[in-house]
Amino acid sequence: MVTVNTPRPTDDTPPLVRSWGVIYLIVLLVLAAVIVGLYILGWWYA
Amino acid sequence: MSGIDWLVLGFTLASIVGFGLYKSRASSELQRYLLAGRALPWYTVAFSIMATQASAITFTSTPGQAFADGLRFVQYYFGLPIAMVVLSITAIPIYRRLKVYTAYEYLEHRFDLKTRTLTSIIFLVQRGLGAGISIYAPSIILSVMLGWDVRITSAVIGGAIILYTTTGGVKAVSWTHVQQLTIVMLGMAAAFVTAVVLLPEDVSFPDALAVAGALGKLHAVDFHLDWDNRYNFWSGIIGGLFIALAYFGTDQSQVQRTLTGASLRQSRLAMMFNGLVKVPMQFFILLIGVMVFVFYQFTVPPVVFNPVETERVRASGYREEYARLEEAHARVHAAKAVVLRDYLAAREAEDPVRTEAARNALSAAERQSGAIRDSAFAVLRAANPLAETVDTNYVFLTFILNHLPVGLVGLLLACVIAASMSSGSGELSALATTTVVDLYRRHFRPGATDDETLRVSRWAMAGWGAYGVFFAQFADQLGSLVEAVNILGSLFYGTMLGIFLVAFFFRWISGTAVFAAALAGEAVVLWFFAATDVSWLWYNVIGCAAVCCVAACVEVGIRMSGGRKGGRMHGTRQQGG
Repeated sequence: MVTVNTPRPTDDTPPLVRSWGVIYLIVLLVLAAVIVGLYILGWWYA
Repeated sequence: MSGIDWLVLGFTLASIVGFGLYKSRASSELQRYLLAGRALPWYTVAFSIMATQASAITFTSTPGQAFADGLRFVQYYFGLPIAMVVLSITAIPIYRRLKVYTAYEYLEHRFDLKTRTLTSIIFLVQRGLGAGISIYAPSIILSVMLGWDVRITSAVIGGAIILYTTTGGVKAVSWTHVQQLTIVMLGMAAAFVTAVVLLPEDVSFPDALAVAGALGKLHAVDFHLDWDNRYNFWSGIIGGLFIALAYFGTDQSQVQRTLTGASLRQSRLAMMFNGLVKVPMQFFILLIGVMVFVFYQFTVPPVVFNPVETERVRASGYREEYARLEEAHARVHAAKAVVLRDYLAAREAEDPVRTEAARNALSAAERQSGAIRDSAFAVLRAANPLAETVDTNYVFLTFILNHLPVGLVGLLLACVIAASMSSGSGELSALATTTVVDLYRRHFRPGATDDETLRVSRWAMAGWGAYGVFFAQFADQLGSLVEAVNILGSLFYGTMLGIFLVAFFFRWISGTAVFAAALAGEAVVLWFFAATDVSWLWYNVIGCAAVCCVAACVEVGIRMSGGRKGGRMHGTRQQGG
């Protein structure tokens, strides 16, 4: 029988694989949300 | 300052220095001394990264920037989170995999020794001068606050930074960064609350925002692409990205902070935290400046916020002319306060016609007030041709000294000193590391033991600190410090970023080509600085582009002339690429 060992994630795991891609996405989404929020603040009190 | 303020100041500073020295008492090995044993948790690294960046200049002048220009300066930071992601994917894994002490070590792996040495020297020149400005900035503020000579305050601050950086190394720096940033943010929060609480009773926080909005201070994001407009969404995203890539990816004072993480994961988490928090944090600091602006709509501000220049003109033959301007300023301010009440009442009554009329009257009064300030600056220049005619750095300082409750003044003063100590000590630590690792141990004493290197690095820190204090004695010739420190960095960042971009993404280019390109790129930037009016914000892009283009051309030339054989040589040096 052939078994496939999935390697455990380590610090050398390529960055865009596994959870890091999600973390990067969150950072960029938060940036986008902050920019939109700041724009709305300026528009609301203009 | 009151006795309580002195007590708060002394206790806060003593606890910062004492805690740093206590936590770093075991920093006897080289790696522990320079990279904190690469064992720090992500939150300590993150605070250290942020505290190194948040110098006293930023801390005092950012609220003043918002006072003068509103929230739009926040756009300058929009590129930073993107840079954090890019560096987490590209540079940081490479630095950690190669277990380098400095970013420039990687350049020897990728290119050759001469490229590493050249980049190290560029960094030392740029950051050594920057350390002087970092020491000078809080010194001039302290000199105003305490009435001491600026040479004494710069020696005191420089001495304190040298003391705890040399005795504790980077671990002391990193541990005290946590405290310092905490105190800075506590002090800023206290200033924000004070500004809001000191508003008239019938003016609420939303009213304050409405006043700020009516006077154009809340216009934070501008999507209109305008090359003459320094701060808009596009310059923030593109220009901010280049500057942040260079600063966090190639400047040893920041790379060293990142490398102190216990693992790649910890380093990356620290960078992500910085990316998440930086823009909201800067927004908050700018909002404090906006609240101080609103506060001064209801309380008469000085015509010019710089107390030294004000005293100078009052002692000159122009005192009567200046006094007349002060009276005119007070009259315009009183009239503006009436219009402000009218605007708020009209807004509450939801009367659009009256609101619009009041808003126009408000804008007209604001323009009148600005014209009087311009006249006051002209009088300052007449009294003293070398007078500093930008007072944004003094706005927040004036607010702190004149309006904050007893105790908070001491805390805020401690914040200023703590911020300057954290950025100054981070710089000294990075300068010493580069000196011993990239120059001393690489060129002069390759066989030096860790003990010897540690001893030399302590002396290097002290030496760079003394150099900074020496330079600070002459820094009053530089004019606006915020501009000076940014121009200084931008003169070299473009070249450094270009070298690293070639290293990461142009694997067919060799060390000789990039070495020549770095010299050419630096010459191009210096030419733009000396011979053109191009804004310093573009130096980073110009230097980077020049290095990449010249490196590619030189490499092609080398290959065409048969100087190398198909890039085989650097194939063995790409372990990090």
